[in-house]
Amino acid sequence: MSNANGWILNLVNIPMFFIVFLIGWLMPYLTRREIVFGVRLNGRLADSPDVRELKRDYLRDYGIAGGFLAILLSMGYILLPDGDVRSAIMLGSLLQVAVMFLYFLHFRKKAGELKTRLLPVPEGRPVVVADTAYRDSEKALSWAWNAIPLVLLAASFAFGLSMYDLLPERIPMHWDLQGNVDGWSRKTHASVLFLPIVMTFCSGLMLMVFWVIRSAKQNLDAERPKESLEQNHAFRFHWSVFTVISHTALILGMLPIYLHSLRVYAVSQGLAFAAIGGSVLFIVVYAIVLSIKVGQGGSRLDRQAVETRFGLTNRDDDRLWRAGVFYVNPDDPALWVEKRFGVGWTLNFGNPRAWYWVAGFVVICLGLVGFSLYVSIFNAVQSGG
Amino acid sequence: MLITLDLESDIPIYQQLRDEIVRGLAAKKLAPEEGLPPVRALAQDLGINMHTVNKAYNILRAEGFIGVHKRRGVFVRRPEEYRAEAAHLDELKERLRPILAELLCRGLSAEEILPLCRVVIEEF
Repeated sequence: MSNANGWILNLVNIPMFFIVFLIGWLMPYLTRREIVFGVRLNGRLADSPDVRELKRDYLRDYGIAGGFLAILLSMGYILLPDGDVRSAIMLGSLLQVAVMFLYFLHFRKKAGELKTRLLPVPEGRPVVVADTAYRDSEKALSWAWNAIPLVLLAASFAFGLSMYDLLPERIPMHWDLQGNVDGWSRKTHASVLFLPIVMTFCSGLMLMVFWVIRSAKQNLDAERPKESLEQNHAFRFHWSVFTVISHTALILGMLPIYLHSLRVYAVSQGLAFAAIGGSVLFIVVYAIVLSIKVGQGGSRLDRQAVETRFGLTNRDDDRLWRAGVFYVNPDDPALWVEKRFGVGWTLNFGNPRAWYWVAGFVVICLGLVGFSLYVSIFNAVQSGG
Repeated sequence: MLITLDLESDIPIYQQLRDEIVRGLAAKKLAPEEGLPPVRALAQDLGINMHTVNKAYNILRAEGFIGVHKRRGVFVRRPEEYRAEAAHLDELKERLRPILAELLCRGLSAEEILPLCRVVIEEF
């Protein structure tokens, strides 16, 4: 077999280093205006030239370091032999995140110094603001939309079961990086339904994400509550739609390889791998576009709400964010909150229930790995037989 | 409606929350029969203890402003259901007394206090 499918992997993996870099590089411009490098600033200070300069410094400093690292990793990726590629991807991206985090901590310190120097006491009365209608069902994307990916998933199960008797005794289970089959399994329900079962784990995760987006704590800027409420609604809506569409794309992307592996219809291997690569690429591009267009908490969307109350400001909650990224507040019953430096949500680790979620994610991931191992070890047959 | 709480204030949080909802009713920012969030949801959105929200809801319910329905959840009652009666008026007059006393002893005359009340009412 030729290297025909190798380019698809290159197409997905090399840009990954640049995507990780790009998102981290632009992050100060994607987060909320009132939170700069994880430090809460008063509105007037957040718009000041000092803060703009600080963000530009980050753009320059991390741009040089992170950009250089991304180029270095891509070069290494191209030059490395195929067998080492996977570990290189993992370690490379981890290294990128670590370097970005160090730059973040450095600039967080600078932002903190700026705050102490320019505005140590908040201007206005520090308050918390919340809308009582935020959780009205008509303002969020309906759960019913999840039926689209779930029906597709159910159909793939039904298809595998209905074809069971017609299938050959040997099912391809694993492909090498060139797309050659290097693992076979004898015909069992677990091996025939292998991909739908794997997709069920993914679907479970996507439904969890959907729930998190719907139920996360609302986050209003006390200085402009109406505008930030509209932004919050749009933010929640866009990412709910994203979750349903990505969920659907993931299952659609997996269907050709499923049909290909069952050999029922003539789906070529090239098409099958292009579908997986295509759907992953689509989801990544969609997430980037959404992050840039909408921003954290909808902060990059223009909203024209008229504010009527003044003299209020946000409570200083800097000390509740350990290292600027881990929210630990035992007094807050909220479980999922908006990230401080990033686009998305994070757990309140001060809430004991947060650890159930961590455990849940670990169990799902271990379940997936365990199931794959079970099928590949206990159902394996010699290749070429 | 937007609820605003000052967590550092000397006024207890449940009291502030109760007052905010009554203000919302007065300002017609809460429509009759409109739903209010469940205790847990409101507590997490405001970042305050669930017992605090529960306490505020219990007071509002006792005062007749809100109702709690098994299936509908927490909701705002219709104005005719909590209209002030003679007993209410007497109690409200008592609660007005210390504020008016403070205004008077700080040197404001009745002619100054009445327009002040009008200003506050118009702000709703």
